[in-house]
Amino acid sequence: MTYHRPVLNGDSLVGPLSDHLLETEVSGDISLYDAMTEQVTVLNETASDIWRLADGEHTVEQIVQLLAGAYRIAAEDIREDVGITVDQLLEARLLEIRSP
Amino acid sequence: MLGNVFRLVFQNEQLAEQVDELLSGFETTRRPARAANILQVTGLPGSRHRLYKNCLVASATEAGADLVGAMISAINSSAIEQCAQFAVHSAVVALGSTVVAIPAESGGGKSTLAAACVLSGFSYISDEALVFDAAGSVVRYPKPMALSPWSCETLGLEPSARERIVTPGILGGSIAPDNSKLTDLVLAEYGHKALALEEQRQSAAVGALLTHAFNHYKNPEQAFYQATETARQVRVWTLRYDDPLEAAATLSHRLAR
Repeated sequence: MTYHRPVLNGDSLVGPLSDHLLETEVSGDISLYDAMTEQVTVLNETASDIWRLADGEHTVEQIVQLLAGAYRIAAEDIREDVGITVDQLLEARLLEIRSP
Repeated sequence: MLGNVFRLVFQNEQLAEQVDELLSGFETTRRPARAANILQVTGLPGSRHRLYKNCLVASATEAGADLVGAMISAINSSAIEQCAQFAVHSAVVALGSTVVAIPAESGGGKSTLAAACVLSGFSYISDEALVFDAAGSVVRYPKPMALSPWSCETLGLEPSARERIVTPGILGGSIAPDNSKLTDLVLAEYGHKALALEEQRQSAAVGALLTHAFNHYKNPEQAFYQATETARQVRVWTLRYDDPLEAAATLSHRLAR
């Protein structure tokens, strides 16, 4: 079956795709284990921050604003990178776009 | 060996003594070996030798000494296959309280680097597997190192036209004491002219441990937690090197506690 991912935009709510993801933290970086596919993913520092905020309660734009505040930089400086990272996590079937 | 008992049977006493010395790092026991772990070498000096594993011929040569490598390789495969704990393809060496694992695939230079470390003053734990016991201590697996002619030449050892099997004792070193805790994990990359040892985030160890694990598929969830728990407790380094002896000297200098 082909998987067609919905189009991502700033208003998209994003959250973990699978309830069988095991999550643990090593030196501040998130490591994920998908018990179904047996795949392990180690996220870097920024991707880990995005992962923590992608809880199904925040939109992509809210994640951008929260990270910009935390990193003390302008939102436009990180909007594209956050989008790319969320896109990669969607592609890896770790995140999903949720309905509001 | 890694919790398994092997029984080795020889007709050729000279060969038996040679293998006995090479495997002197392992405990001798009266516990019986399971049938699959009984290896037999038939043949007397001057005659054709055959290695039997589980009653089947595994290898045959004119000279008994040529079978030693095959025998150690067969024992190693079985020991690893039957290992119940999380095990990672890795060289492991120790220097005082510093215990260093260097995970790498087969042919990735583990034995050469382990031998270089022994020559540089490290004590030996394994050139093959990083294994933990239930208490989180490193299990010694001092299988003799198989060094290629290139390795012998690079390490300044007596030139050899074929693979040479050596113990740490032959290299002037010793086997590390039991119950040591892993302190450092080195991700080594051979083929870099400029030597560099750089500290990395601990999370870099998670992928390396799981990528080089032998048996993570037996219990993936446990392997994931073991890898992450191990990563939290060690310093993680990348080592780019070209000369194994120079690399070992740097590890000795920089990692000693």
